[in-house]
Amino acid sequence: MPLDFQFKYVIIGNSAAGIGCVEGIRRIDKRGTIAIISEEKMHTYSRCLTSYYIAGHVDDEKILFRPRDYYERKNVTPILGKKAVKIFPNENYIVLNDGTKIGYSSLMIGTGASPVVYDIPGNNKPGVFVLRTYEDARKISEAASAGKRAVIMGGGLVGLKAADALHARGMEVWVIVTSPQIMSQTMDKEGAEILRKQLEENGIRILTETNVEEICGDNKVEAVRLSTGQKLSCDIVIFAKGVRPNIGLAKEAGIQTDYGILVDAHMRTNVQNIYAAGDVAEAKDFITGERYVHAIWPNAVEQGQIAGQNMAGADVEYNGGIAMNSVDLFGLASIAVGLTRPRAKDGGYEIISRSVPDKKFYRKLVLKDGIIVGAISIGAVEAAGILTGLIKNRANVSKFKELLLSEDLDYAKVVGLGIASDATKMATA
Amino acid sequence: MKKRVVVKFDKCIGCRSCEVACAREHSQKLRTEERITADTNKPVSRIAIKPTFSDPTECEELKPIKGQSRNDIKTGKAYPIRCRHCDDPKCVEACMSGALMKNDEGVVVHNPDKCVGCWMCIMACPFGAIKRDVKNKIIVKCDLCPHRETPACVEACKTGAIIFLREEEIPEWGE
Repeated sequence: MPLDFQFKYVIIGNSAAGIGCVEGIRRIDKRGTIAIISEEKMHTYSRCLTSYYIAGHVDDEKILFRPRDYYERKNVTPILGKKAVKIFPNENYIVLNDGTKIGYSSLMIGTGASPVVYDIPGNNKPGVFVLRTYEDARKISEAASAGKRAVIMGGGLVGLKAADALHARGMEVWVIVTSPQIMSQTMDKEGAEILRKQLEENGIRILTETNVEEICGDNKVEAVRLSTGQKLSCDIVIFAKGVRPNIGLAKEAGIQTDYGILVDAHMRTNVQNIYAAGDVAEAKDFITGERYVHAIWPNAVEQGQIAGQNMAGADVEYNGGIAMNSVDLFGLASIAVGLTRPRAKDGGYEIISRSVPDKKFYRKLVLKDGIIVGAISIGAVEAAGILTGLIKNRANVSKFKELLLSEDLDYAKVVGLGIASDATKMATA
Repeated sequence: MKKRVVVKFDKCIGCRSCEVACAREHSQKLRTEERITADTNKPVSRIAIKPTFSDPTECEELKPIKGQSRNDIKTGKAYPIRCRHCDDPKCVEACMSGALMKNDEGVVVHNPDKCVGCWMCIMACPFGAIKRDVKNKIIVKCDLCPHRETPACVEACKTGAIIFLREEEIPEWGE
């Protein structure tokens, strides 16, 4: 069985986890050969910038999150526009869709996730889109047209960023949300209300507790029929109802999967020399200790870096992922980190908050036995990272609740309290 | 030769000279014309001196002793907040536009042309060392003054609280 190519490291996926993996490997091993495989032809572009691309704020160049000469500089062989279709874990090689066989010493699977398209009538009509890839963004950008109407299904981060972008292109935007609130994954009810108001004041229409039941039109999208019975004429429909990990390739190779690919603290799968990271990986959760998929950018980069370092022979453990998201909607910043919506039945959580409505300031902390496990900041977000740091330190903040809720919280105020990881005498920069 | 800024908190008297120097340094007009009125944008310092949170009655620094500043540090001790150019920078990890990178000198550099103002780095920095420039929808942070021999804040600090050392000269963290 001759192989066409042999690399020390093979990475499937060219986004946050894949690039994090390259950087993790190169921290330890400057010379080992690396191949990075992606079915997309694009250089290292940022999925988080796709909505900015639609809005016209970033172009084909600015959408890249690493420089043009990145692959050369890191001594990586990019194999772009080819899809990995099979892994042979016992023989240590993979096969691409053109039949090319590529051997590896260790493999990192960073296949990401795909948007979920609900099974409703008309979901395949021209004018129905998802927003995940550069290609998706390009198609939406082409279809966007000032004065026309867009319906976005889903009130999460992707949906709202898409809404913001299409609004910037002069479209009338309706967001249809199943839940009673927007951003139900990361934001509590009160924070979601503030954001909703901000969106509505800027002309975005939002319907909560509503579903799209049918996408109507003869040859293309002309309207949607809502669960309220209302028929809403429109020109574009975007599915932004969440993503599902792309586990098929791993599963078929006999790698252990559940919702995502199961990995240990070293980001290793059940196969010794195969790792997984990013939106496809089900790794340790920082707060619960259980395995969970946190499909967000910083976690993907960090997991990729950890996988890469371990592939190169280091011994680095993952502390666990934390839910975190930052979004700026019409100039109102909001950041949610950790466990922000504990369910009543979980019990044992203390919630404290402070809001200054006329300043659009809102901060909320979630504590369990005095330990801070979640934080929301809206408006003045400068101190949000300090709260993230305290969550990661598992800091007991029960004595400092009022301090942490203050609008002008800064790092100096938490120094010397024994809750932040800090050298008291000196810091280097 | 890698050099780093080191902050000795016990020497800081809260005069905020470093803030002025930093704001001036990063304001093109002020650097050339020396006139605060010349710049239409309010100059933004990348370093901030803030009081720590402790009981003022226990704080020796606030009692007027000969040779001490009477600056209005409300409570606690003066504490310079600035980017530490971390070995494992969480801001760079969180930056989804590629605006933040750790360069070969180990400096965490920010490219305002790549920045889209998503504030992910602010969410990630545990030291709260990144500021927002809301008007231009970008962040501002310390760049270690690449165009100068010695960073402006170091030059401005007259008490030896902010010093510039080669990496091997930097003492160990902690007490």
